[in-house]
Amino acid sequence: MSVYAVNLVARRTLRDPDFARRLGDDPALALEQFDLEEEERDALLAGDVAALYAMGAHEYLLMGLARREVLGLDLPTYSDRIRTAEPRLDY
Amino acid sequence: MARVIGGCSVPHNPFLPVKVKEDPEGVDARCFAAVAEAIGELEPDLVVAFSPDHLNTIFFDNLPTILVGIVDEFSGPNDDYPPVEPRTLVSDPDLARHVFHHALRSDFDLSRSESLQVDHSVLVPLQIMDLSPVVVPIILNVLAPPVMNATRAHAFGRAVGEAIRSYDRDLAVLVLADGGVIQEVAGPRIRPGRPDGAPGQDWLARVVELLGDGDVGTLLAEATPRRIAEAGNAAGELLTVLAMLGALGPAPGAPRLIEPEPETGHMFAFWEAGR
Repeated sequence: MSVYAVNLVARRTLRDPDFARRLGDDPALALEQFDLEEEERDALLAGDVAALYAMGAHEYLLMGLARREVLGLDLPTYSDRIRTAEPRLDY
Repeated sequence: MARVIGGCSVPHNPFLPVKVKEDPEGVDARCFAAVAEAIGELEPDLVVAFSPDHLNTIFFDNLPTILVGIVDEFSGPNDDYPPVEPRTLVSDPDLARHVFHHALRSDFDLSRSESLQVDHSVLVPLQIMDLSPVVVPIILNVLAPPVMNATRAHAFGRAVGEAIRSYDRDLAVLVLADGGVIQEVAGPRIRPGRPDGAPGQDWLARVVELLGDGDVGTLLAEATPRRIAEAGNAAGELLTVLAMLGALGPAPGAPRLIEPEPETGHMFAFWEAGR
């Protein structure tokens, strides 16, 4: 699992208003075009940013989902959820 | 020949333009004014900026560690933070090409862009300080691990400084680093209800202490990947400062001003070359 597709979903959400709207309207349908693992898709649909972070998704990109308020996320929800994750201490 | 006349370290949090207006007596407003005044006194012809990118200009499909913009001009921000005003900055592709070539021949395998947009990074401090200089942009990957070592960032900065000083035009160049020293953005160590946090306060104090003493060598030894990671997922932005100091010259000495801002985890600093 490369988690590349998760990062791509988050990037497109922030940068492509049309895609962000489709992701908001019908998340499962909007995600069909991405090569996601089942575990990644489930976590995205659940707005489980802590799980996505644990899989290796980049948190800067994940926060874009909250900025666009899709997948049940907004900034307070994002904050509550990401703070439950174990920090990655890689550099 | 061109010469490096000074260097500065300034933050680039995209909400700073608002904060500076709302709190004109605060650390950020006061320090930005002090750095702007120091820059004004030196009268640079051009700025070479070492900046991070927050996965806006570059992405995992093609992610260079070092990217030099060889462009007539570049625009931004491309990450949609309303406090940051859209603008286009004039650049100097001849100098940028010279820097690229010199660094390549100095064994740095860098990348180049001939069509560049940037995110809020370098634009924020220039907006707040009301500056519109000619800017040669150099983007360092310091936010998508793994990133280069501190010593490598400093060595790259040295190569950039050598390139500037071997450039056959009479130019006074300011080197600029933008970013924080400690900071967590969007990660598990953010504060409740905020998009950021400032873990590693002891590291911020240590960095300011060492730079205040002009002890870059000890800082390079202590700035290990682990130490930086413990200070937050944006703490790698210190590498832009280390690159800037490398460009400033072999012994930058003590800064003319240095002041931390612990709440957000950044610092302001200004050096004059040869002092």
